[in-house]
Amino acid sequence: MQTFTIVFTSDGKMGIYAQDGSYVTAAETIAAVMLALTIDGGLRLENVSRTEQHRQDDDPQHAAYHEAQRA
Amino acid sequence: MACNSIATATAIVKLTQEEALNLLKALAESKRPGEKAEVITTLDIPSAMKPQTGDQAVSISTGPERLWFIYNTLSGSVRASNGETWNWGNTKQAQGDALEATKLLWERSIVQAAKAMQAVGRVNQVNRLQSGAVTMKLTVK
Repeated sequence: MQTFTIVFTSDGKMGIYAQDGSYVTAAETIAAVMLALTIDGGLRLENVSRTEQHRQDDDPQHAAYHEAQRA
Repeated sequence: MACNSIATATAIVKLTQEEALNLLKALAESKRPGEKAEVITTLDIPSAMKPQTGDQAVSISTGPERLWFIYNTLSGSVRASNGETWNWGNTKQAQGDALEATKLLWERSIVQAAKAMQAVGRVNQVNRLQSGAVTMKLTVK
């Protein structure tokens, strides 16, 4: 079992972070998280797309993740 | 007088049909979290809502809880079957209203999902941040 920090921004972006704070891009992990959200959480996800090139500075989910760390 | 009338008509109608329907759906779904709004034809608008030329409509929920939302392309006004009204004559205001409705709906959905997963032990530490973001710690295999 692994624990991830999931960040949802108010404009519909989602970020997944491992326990060491690294940003997760592995498809299998993303799929497992989305499965948990939809099956256990009942969340309705539509038009999901993955950012191909990751820009740490610009992505709003990073700002939200760091905000959560400071909270 | 003729020039004033033309200028007013141009200022009011700025949303395309697709934009108006998307905004109506977002508005309806913000009033009924978890339910899906459907586009309805003007023929299905209840007579009590006084269908007019230029009306576009969506409906949400079923039975006695059903709500109708109508946008009139000529006046830019929006009216709901529960008596609420809005003025979408200004496109920026309409987009702002819909964006707020969408954000609220999104946040509610996330928090609802987090609570459901907390109940089965998959999630803990749900935080709502000042920016409007929601974070949670999720356990997966």
